[in-house]
Amino acid sequence: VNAEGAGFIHYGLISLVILTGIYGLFSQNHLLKKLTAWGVFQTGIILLFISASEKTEAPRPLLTAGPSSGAVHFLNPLPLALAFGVLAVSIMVAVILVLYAWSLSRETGKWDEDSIHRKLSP
Amino acid sequence: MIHPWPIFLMILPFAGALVVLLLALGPAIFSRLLALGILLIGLLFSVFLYLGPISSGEWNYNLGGWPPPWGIEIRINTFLCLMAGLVFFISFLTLLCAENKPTKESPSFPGILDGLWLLATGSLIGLLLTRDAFTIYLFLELFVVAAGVFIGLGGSRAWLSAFRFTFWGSVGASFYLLGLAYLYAATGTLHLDDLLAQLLISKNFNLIWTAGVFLTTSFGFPLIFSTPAVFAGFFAESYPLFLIFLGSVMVRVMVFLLFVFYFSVLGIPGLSTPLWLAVLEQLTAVFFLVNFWKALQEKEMGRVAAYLSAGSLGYVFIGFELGTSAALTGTLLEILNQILAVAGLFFVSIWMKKTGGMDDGRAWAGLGWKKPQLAAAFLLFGMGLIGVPPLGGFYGKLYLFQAAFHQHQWFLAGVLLAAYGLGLTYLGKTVGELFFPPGFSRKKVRPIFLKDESWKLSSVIVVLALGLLALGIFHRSLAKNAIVPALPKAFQNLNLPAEPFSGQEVE
Repeated sequence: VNAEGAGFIHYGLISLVILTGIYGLFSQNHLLKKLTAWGVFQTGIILLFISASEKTEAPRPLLTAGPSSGAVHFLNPLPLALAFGVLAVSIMVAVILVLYAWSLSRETGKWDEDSIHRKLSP
Repeated sequence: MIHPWPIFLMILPFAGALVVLLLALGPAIFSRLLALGILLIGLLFSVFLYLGPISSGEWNYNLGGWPPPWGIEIRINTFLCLMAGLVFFISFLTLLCAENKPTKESPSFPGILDGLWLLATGSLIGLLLTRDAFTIYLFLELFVVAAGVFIGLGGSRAWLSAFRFTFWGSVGASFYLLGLAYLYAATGTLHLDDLLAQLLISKNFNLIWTAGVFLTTSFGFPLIFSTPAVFAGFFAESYPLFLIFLGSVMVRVMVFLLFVFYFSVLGIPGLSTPLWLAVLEQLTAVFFLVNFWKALQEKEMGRVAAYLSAGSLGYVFIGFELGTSAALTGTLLEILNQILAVAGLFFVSIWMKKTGGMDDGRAWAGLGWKKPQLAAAFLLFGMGLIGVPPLGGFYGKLYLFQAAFHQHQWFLAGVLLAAYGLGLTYLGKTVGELFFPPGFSRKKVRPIFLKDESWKLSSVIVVLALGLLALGIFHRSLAKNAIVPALPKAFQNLNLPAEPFSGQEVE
């Protein structure tokens, strides 16, 4: 596979992950499955960010003992830092959402969004 | 001009939120007074900046001393002073009217509510002031989390609403991130001005369309929360006062961010709108304005306010479609007006519920004689939103209509006129129901002048009404001194950047 083909497969797979996540967001009714779909969607976006740091045959942006050859020859560290930022925010949001889902399940005995809505309606 | 004041305005509510959350275990009155004090300082400071030093131009602050496009830039100008001032203003008025006692449904500490309120307000201020695209994502998520937890404090029945708000708000933020990933991968920058410069050089129209679709989707999620059906269903269990903040301030801040992205980042010269998008845009404007028609058939005041609020967004989108200097001036004036008028309408609906309920349509009949203050307040804010002179809403719509007329956009001019006509019809019908309902005898009615327990609400409504009137009286000076200087450079007859940002080559 040449470089263009590899890039096509790489971004094709990332697109597949993103689309799977988006499909799950709108098709699932179970609160935890919805959350999982959001996680898949978010993972696809993080992979897209990491891919933006790619440079042909460039080493990781870590300081080494050898002579420095200039920042331009290393992988771009900024997208990796952004990916970590997204990861931290996602964990914070996911914890809150899982807490809500768990509390709703304890209150109603259901995990399904429609059933919970019916149970909570006066 | 580099100055620390912009960062002070942004940090103030966050620092306050930390202290208020620490005080949450103590007496409720301390945390409430502190939160109100912080919001008041923010408001006064915005007014001070607007009237004084900032009038000479815009101020910047580079976080960590890193100049843009490498570092995060915080920027404030006269229009952002006004927007920040309005966010603090509505936030202050809303918190002033909120209960500060734990209830049976919500046994949590009221101090937590105050801290979350400051966190949500600070996030909106951050969204307005930052010029870094990734920081916008962080503030979006922070707002969603703070507001989600806030809704959840309403008790077990509100948890599902809180889950939905947090979940779909985060999905919206994820779409924003997806658009950002495309922009970053193609330009290598996150600074909003530098993004414009890089797109101007590359003229990558496909990228602009793709990013534009994702960004519109992302800011569309918060707008969905303001549509009446979702609004009523989602927040039936939540604090009603939160609806004011959500419906007036949050929605308009999101629309303003759309404006920033459309015209300061993606709106490069030479980017022509394809036919399919032009049709889609016009349908979107019509879709929003249909809400005026629905308001005509609605009886419950809270839902009427929600329909009028959603319908008014159509004017803003028409301004985006017209996209000229006059149209954008009208759009920004309209955003300021809508924040005040929508907040006022929701305050009146809550006031009405507190003084005897308004779910029954028959309660409208003769309300103008029974509770004249209530009826007058509702009519005033309705007139402000619909745009009756001399209130501010009229001039924003006038600018929009002039822009449509000069560009020979007859369809949009027709939609504007139709929406305005529907709004006036609604007002006429309401005046009839309030003052001259069929079979209503005025002699049998004894007016009830509201006072006592609702003094806070009535004072707030008077203050908002004065603000609405001031917007109309000073519209010319606002447009000249605050709105036009805040328009993107292409709309001020200024030269666009011909080379990458700050003259530095970006990898």
